[in-house]
Amino acid sequence: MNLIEDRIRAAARAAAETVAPDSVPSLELPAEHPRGYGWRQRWLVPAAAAAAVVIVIAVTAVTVGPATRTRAPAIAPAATAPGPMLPGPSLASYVSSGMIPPYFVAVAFTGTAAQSPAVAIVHDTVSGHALATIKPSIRGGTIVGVSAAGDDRTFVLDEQTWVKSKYPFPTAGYSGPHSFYLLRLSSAGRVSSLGRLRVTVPATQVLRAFALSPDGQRLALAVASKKGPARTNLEVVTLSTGSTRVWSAAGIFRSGAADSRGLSWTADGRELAFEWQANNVGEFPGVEARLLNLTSAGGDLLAASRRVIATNRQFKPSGSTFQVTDAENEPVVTPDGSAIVTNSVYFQVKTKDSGKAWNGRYGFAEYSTRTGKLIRILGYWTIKPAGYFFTQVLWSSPSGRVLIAVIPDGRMGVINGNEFTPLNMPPVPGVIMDIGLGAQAGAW
Amino acid sequence: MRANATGLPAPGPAAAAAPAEAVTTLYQAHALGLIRLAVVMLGDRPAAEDVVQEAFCGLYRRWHSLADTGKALAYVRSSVINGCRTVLRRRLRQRSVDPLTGDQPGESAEAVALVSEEHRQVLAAMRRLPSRQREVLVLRFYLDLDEAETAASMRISRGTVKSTTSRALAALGRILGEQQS
Repeated sequence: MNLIEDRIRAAARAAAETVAPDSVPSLELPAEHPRGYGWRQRWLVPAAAAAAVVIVIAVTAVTVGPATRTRAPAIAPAATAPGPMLPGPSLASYVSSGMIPPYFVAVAFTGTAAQSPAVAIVHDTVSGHALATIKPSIRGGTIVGVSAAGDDRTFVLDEQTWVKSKYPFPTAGYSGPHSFYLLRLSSAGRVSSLGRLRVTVPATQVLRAFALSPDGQRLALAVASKKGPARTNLEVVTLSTGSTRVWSAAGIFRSGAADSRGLSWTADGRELAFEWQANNVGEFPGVEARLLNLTSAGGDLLAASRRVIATNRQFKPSGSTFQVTDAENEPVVTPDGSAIVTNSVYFQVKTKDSGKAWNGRYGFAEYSTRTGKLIRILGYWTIKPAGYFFTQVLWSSPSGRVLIAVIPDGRMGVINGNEFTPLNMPPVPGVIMDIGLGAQAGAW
Repeated sequence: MRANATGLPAPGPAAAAAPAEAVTTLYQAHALGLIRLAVVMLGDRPAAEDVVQEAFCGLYRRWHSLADTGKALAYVRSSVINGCRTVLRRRLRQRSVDPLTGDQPGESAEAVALVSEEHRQVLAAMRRLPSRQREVLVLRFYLDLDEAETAASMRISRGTVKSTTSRALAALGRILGEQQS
């Protein structure tokens, strides 16, 4: 036997065996009729077939728009290969293949961004057209947040009293207690019902985040007292009965301003992701993404949850440069629970240039919830000179391989590996991203 | 020997079942072997998984146009090889367009930890070969396919398999020799 042939065999097998037999991911077949692309009918994805082929996405088990001749987008193979962004498939092909949901609800200011009351608008994902507008129920009220269930038909809106800012610059401060409303959409994206929930957050508390469970049956709320030591309660309310379980710990619940969506559920409703900061000591205090086990009875928030990754800035020596990873701002767990998605920023800092930020690299990093290791990066934008350009994950496919997000230039769109398809929506104003309201740009 | 090395047993009775079920069954039986094949080709686990996933999605979409569904495994294996080629071409394009992307995905930290220095040298040398030469080496010496099977998978003639194998081994020997000298 030739020595080189033996070396090839041994090396190839060694490489192959890094793939453990129990680590093969599930198959995700497209929600598309296998006869081809010319199948022109409104169609319903049969739930049984979806179960047989591993559910691609919870919301595909409902009717979607008419199939088009457009080829169903493929999951981009270069998901971990940072490189120039390429134009992605059309939004219509994404929606018709069931890869992304057909409707979303966004909070929209009625005047100057963040300086006027807001309404909620139901949009068609493909066209961006407004299908319905939901105004505040109270005079002088404003919609301050929205969260979606997994069916893309059920949403919760958060309402507060709007108070004109006394400052000349935009702030995200609203006043009074929070009221919540359950919004249900028809299959055409119209409002089919809108009712007030028996859930409130009193004016004595700060609402850090809220998130509707994928089945639309529970609402998770992160609240803290406005006075006293930093302590956060994470409450999960069963909407039908009002029964509540509470987990609590001393520390700071990290989220954007107002009640941005700093909470995210796994599709099975068994885990809830949140970002936590134990204290405020030091230049870069420990910030971490954690997963709360919702099968626990309540009690100590930290004991019932586990740390997945540290999301504070990390300095990594890399040749003559330093890489800074900034993965803050509302990491989300993928619905299948396999990964935490963060909006990461990579700065290449040239030490010989007085430490001035040189190349900024922006993308969405995904870390295994099992090992905490980086498993893929979606999206890749370079900006010179580097700076803070805020980005925001708005929606994740079940496995996290397709995202809808706000990218550094403020555009919203679908990110699939290194492909980007912009939504037909105006860019999110910089001030909205700056003050942490980017999460209100859309809930799917 | 072949089954142990590749995890690619012959296709079973899945072909007669409904498309989704048949493709899922085929995936369950062969995904590990095919992901391993793509990992050897690409040195990058997530990209390998994506290539295999896309190959099975392609099989599902084309199920009804397959002349012989019993050859589904051969079809999907060819798709994986083609998918690997596409990824490698895309990497080359990206490298030529954006010098910032010099940090190619290559091997993961985990793979580096698990694969010995000697093996990594061989794998790195293989990645310096033209894609056809690399493919023929992987199919012949990792999957232990014979010349006819290799030719069918790559859609080239047996003669081309023979000559490409010969040239690939010679080139690999030269590269490894250079590394050692």
